[in-house]
Amino acid sequence: MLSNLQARYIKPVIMALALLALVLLGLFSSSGFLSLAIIMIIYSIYAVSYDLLLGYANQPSLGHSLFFGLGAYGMVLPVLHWQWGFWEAMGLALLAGAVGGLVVGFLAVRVTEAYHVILTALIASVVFLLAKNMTPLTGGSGGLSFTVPPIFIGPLKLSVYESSTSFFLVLAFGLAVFLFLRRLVGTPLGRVWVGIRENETRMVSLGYNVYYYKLAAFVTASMLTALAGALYAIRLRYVSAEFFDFMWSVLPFIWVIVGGIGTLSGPVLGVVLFTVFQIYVSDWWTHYLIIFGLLILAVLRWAPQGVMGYVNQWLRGRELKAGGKDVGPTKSHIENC
Amino acid sequence: MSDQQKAILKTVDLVVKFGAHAAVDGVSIEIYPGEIRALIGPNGAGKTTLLNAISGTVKPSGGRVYFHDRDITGLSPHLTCRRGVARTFQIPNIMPGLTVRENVWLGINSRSSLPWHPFKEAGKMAGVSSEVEALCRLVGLEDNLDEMAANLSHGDQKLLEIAIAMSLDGSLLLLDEPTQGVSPGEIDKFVSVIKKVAETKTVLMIEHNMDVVLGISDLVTVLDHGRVIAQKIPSEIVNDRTVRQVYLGTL
Repeated sequence: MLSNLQARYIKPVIMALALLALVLLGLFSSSGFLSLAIIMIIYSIYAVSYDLLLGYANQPSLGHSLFFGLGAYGMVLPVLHWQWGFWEAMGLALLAGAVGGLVVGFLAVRVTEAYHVILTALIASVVFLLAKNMTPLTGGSGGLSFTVPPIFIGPLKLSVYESSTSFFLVLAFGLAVFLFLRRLVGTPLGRVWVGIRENETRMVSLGYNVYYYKLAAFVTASMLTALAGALYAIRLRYVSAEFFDFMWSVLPFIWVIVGGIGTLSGPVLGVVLFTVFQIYVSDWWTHYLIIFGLLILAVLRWAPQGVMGYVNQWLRGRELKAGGKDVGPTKSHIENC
Repeated sequence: MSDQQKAILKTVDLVVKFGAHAAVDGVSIEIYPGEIRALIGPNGAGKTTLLNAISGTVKPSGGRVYFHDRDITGLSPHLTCRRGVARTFQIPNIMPGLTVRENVWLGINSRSSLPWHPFKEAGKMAGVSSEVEALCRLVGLEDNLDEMAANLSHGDQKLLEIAIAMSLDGSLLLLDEPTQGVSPGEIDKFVSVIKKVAETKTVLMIEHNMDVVLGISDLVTVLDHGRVIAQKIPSEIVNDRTVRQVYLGTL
């Protein structure tokens, strides 16, 4: 039987162990396995930043492929045409995501729920079509290949063509994003987002100008999505108009819903589950997405807060059994992360 | 209410129209600092609409609203709130998934100079938690600080609403039926809470419970069909003929 104390430390311990496993993986694993891990970490960056928007600031965007693609092109184009270095191009990619988020958010943040979904999806679809047709700039669906420039960190010169370097670089970005968001949701800004999700009209009559708060969430999420897009392009050494494809808007939604909306570790779990599922089940059945669709329905039916929401509830029950104070069926949504 | 004293809230010929129907039809009232004003009237008299027009939730179609002599007509609700008009709602309007403590925290945070601070840790802000506790003690929720708001009883949710509104530090408090749906046994608690609240704030409240109205208000304004039909002290209001006809007569 777990004691109260043990139950509380389960998640940090699991996270520390996962991190240790990742480091060992980076040092000793085969490159095939590493490349899978790299993809998962990039997806995770995308997933957690998307959940900041969906799970914390309550904005169901279905057009985030736009920022994913912007980040990728923001990285690739300056390297290709102007021979920019790694960090400069990365900076431009983030800037492209932030500015794109500001422009789209300027409109999209004004509408909620279905209208937000439709508007963001519409804008992203238009950009997708444009990107497909503006072949001289984007390379269209055929895409553009590029050589990733060396990365200078102080006196160090690193190359992503070395698979463990590539892995640790992406891992560092992933950790930075995770810790940044973890910190952010605990600040007054993060709590106001949760307040808006819980009751927007009340927040208005509490004196909050919710528009700016929601816009801030939109821009932050867009910028981090662009980071994921840039890393993905670096990973493939390639970008194409397909980065703007609708699929890239749906994926983060699925990761978040399956893993646990309104948490930070949930989306990561969603990525792992989905990716592993994709690899192993697609091996023996081409139409594996049908099974995954059914699984999503099952999650929505029996664990509407996602797998991590289920885990949180279970942990809460353990704490109660161990003599903790009953403060309700679940913990406050602020504390779950 | 001496004539020299300046009104804290003044409406002049306030009109709110929904299509052709005037829900509030030329209301002019003045409320003075420290007062508890009750707003009564039959259903559909325009009481809540009047409150909404003052707090900015609906835009007036005509007339003006002055708060501390400044024109606040048609300002958005978040701006009237920042000027110092705090309000509660008829149906408990709280953040259900957050704890009592976090609910009140959001109110206190909104008046800080940097409510969107992106670096400080919210849980460790100096002075805030003692303020949260003081406000919860004021409404009698000091034992429920870490309880989820959704799990509170209806009465406690209404008390939490008052605590949230108090946390805004406004000078005027608009209470929309604070005792609505509250069990008779809890009414006394509400009366004493409103009395305590009124020690530091001016209160304008819509109230249906006549015991509460007669017990604590300084002045009663009666609304019918969007118009003020009477405005008297509680002891006189019960004997007013028009009021008896439109309002008390139906009891």
